[in-house]
Amino acid sequence: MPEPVDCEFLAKLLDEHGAALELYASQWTDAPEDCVQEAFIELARQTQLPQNPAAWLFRVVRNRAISLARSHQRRRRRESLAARLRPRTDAAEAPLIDAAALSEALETLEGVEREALVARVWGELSFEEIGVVMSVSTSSAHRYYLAALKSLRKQLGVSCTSRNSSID
Amino acid sequence: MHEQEFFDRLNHGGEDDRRAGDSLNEEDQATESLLKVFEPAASGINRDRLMYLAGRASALAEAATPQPSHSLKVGGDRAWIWPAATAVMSAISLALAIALLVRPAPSIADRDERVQPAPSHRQEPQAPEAIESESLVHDSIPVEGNRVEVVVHRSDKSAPVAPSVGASARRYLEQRELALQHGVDALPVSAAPAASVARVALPQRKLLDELLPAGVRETSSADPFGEFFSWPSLNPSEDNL
Repeated sequence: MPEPVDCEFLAKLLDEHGAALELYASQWTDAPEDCVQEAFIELARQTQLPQNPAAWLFRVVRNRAISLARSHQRRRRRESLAARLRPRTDAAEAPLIDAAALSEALETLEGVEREALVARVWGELSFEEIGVVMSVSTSSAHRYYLAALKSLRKQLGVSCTSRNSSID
Repeated sequence: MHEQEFFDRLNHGGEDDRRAGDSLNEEDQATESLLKVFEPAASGINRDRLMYLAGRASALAEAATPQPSHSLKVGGDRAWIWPAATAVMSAISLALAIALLVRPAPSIADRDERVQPAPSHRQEPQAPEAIESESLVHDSIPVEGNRVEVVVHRSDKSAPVAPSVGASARRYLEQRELALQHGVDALPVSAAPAASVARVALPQRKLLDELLPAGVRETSSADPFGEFFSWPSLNPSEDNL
């Protein structure tokens, strides 16, 4: 039985998914904070907690970001994505690529491929959740993700061999 | 996409997701690991402000949600009573309205019947005609002097007077209407209330003739007592009380 949304649960969701949601929204708009904040407020309005609050938030953020981008008629994903990706502080080794190069490579991806990649890698959503959020099938979400990885490898010039050799 | 479909897909898509995850080859997994070295920057959302706005929105939504009233909770099993009563009363009102519309206009005879007084046990004064039709009982009452009064009582066991009762009752009602509208003085003289006891003075000579035997009656005509006393006047107008 779904329960009403309480404040502590909202705070926990914000801690776990807030940054990823902003990154996800920044694909469409340069004001992702507004979209994420509105999504959380909308979640607080719900009398019953959704069965999958994270997927629900991603879906609401996506809809609001697209709507906001259409209304403002401007997109600045490149700067936004570049500003919102940073190397992990707890990483054992330095990244092979820098954030700016990664943002530029992300710009070259198709919209659905980039969306599936961001949702999977940084949003930590499953493929069925991605499919639901994007209103596509799970296999389509998986296909978009694989296509995005392939394109990124090509753009960034990295391969499994180079990665393994760098690790070795 | 409907919300139910949204959740159904989330609940039943786990196996597909596992199959999709297993299908990643080494290259894909390496690229995925390369990307996971990066993380999204910290959220720029003002946490306190968001919590305040969320709490306010939640309170407003709860206030806007219609809550079942206490009376409905208590009478949940009997909640049909008031709607049923309302439906019954509405049906009755509708039927009465239809009956009022369909009902024919009242005729003059109906109006006259409505004027008829309700039957009562009280004895109402009757017109002289009614009294005439009743059977009379004659009682002789001796009074002072040599005068005899015959008191005529109206018998309670009188014969039915149905044919004249309707006319007399109608006449009585007309007179009552007349008296109510124009006063008692407007009543006709003949309509004076008839007394329940009518006194009629009959000539004494006639009464004596009825009582005396035939032979005596013959002699009495010669006035055998004429030399002893004089008879009172036989003028009925003088004897009437």
